[in-house]
Amino acid sequence: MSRLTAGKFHENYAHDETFSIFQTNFRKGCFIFFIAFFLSLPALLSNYLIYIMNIWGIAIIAVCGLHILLGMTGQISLGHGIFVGVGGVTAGILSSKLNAPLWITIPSAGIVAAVIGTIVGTPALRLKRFYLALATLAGHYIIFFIIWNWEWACGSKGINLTPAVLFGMDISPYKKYYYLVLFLVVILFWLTANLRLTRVGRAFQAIRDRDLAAEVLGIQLWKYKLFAFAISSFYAGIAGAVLVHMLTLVPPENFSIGLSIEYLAMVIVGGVTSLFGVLLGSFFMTILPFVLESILENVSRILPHVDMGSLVSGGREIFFGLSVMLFLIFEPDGLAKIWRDLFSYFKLWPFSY
Amino acid sequence: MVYFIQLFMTGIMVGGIYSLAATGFVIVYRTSKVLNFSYGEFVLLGAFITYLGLVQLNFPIWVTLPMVILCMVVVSFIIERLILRPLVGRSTVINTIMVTIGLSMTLRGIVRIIWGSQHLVLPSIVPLTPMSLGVIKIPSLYLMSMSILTVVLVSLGIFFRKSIKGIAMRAVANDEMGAYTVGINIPRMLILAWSMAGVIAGFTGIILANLSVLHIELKNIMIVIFPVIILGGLESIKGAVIAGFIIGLLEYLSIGYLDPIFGIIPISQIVPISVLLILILVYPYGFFGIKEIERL
Repeated sequence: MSRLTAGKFHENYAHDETFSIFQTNFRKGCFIFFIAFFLSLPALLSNYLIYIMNIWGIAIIAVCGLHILLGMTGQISLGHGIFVGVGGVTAGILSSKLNAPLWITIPSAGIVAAVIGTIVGTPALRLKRFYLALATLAGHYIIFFIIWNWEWACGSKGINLTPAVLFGMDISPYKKYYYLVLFLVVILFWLTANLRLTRVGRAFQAIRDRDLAAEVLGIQLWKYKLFAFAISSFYAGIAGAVLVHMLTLVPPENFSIGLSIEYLAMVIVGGVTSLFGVLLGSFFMTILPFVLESILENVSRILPHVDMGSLVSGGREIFFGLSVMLFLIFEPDGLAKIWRDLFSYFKLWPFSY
Repeated sequence: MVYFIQLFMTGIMVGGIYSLAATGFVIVYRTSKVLNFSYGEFVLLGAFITYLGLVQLNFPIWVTLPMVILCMVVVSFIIERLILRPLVGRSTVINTIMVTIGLSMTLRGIVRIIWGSQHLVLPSIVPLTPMSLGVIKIPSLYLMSMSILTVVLVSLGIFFRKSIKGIAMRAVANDEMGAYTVGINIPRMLILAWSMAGVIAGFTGIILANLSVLHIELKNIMIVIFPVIILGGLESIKGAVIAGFIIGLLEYLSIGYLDPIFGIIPISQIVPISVLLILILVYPYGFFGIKEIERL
């Protein structure tokens, strides 16, 4: 471990277990600083940039879920995008047909997605790796088909929602919605970080490392695998609900297999087993394409005859594909490993070991 | 009754196309143990390079076809060399799958930038009038695809049984270490396998583009290839061919008989996927696959 901090020694197991996720005061201070920084962003950035930050926040929530499933429990799931879709459709139905307020639709979207996620995750009890990926892919397509063709629920046109209202306050402008997203991101990320240290989290990691040994030790595989699918789909459902309330519509064509692959790419580029990689990977895959898009738009002023639409979407796809490939070939542990190596280099400078 | 026979014939013909596509996939998997999720993009590339030759550069057909074959060989060679070679022995199955998924996105992006996102039309390379066997009309495109499939399968059969390189490839597929010990040049076999798969994908692309429009959506062939290879067994070309016909039949029979029951819901779209799901859960080896999948 290259990131040991000096001066903090655990003297017994109880101390190790109950210690908070911030192990030094410096880290606690950093956390407070970053919270203050993110709280102050709406005053500093424009509406469009706050919209991008909202998209990033939603991606963090969804990728946290996928991290629990893939990084902590080791179950490959190509269906994560459709759970976001299920959450979005649930929120859309509750909001448009029953006029439910936000504090009902968002948790219910999570719960419905968790139920559907558990059902789609049942093949995990029998399959591993490639075959589980195919089974979740099949589940994704089937649920997408249901959403696309069930006209009462959603259909291919989607649902239109009224602008978001929370506890009487209108939060539909992006800058106000940002606070809801920030609140949910902080709470859910903190919950995930704490999950790692609990009994359930350690069971997940045991399943990832060697599930045969985990079963020998007494961890009931079926219970924890289904639980992993349930929790990760809960996160995805919440992400979906937050997304549709921000966009005030439910676009079912967004929830295709491409979305699942994007989330998978975010986890992998960030570093599969690292929670911090969730932040890095989602930043990389959400914010950099916007940067790329603005660069390409400047390019279009130089070459006006190029078809901009396909250039931008094609460029985005090439960016995703190349980053996934290059990271997997050259740095399979992702951005988190690069970050850790960087920090530990400076920590130990000028000594090399 | 005529309806049924028409559906049956169409299903067999389309199944032939699926068989052809699955054969390429199986060749790559047998030799290099890589599940090539970007196979749909190879098919796409074949179709678009044909478009480039026929329409944009106005070459006649007997120049375009060798050009497509050459381009697919070059592309497969580059991909195998630069991307798959560094991963050999160093990477888990899921990492390799993710690399091929990344590759598929990259190829799709390249195709989108060069050729745009609109639907293009490939000029038909067969005469357009359907042939009729009595009451049943068969578009001559299907006959051409069946003949291509037959030629490919016969030549593959001869290649794998009689030629030295073919036997060497079977040896590599069987036991890589043993083949290496005997002196077979493994990298060359891998290049050969990927090039063959690329050429087969190219042909599939041409046929599919003639069948429907030429568009990025052609990559959706992957949704049908997965049930075919799981049904046939991941490592068997025979299985892929038989399963291709079965899945094609199933799809068209369900279009004919299940769709009218359900009205506006096109239930036939998820028939192959449901077959895939049920197969994976119940019997993932397929017809001729090797029974070594770890089950819990």
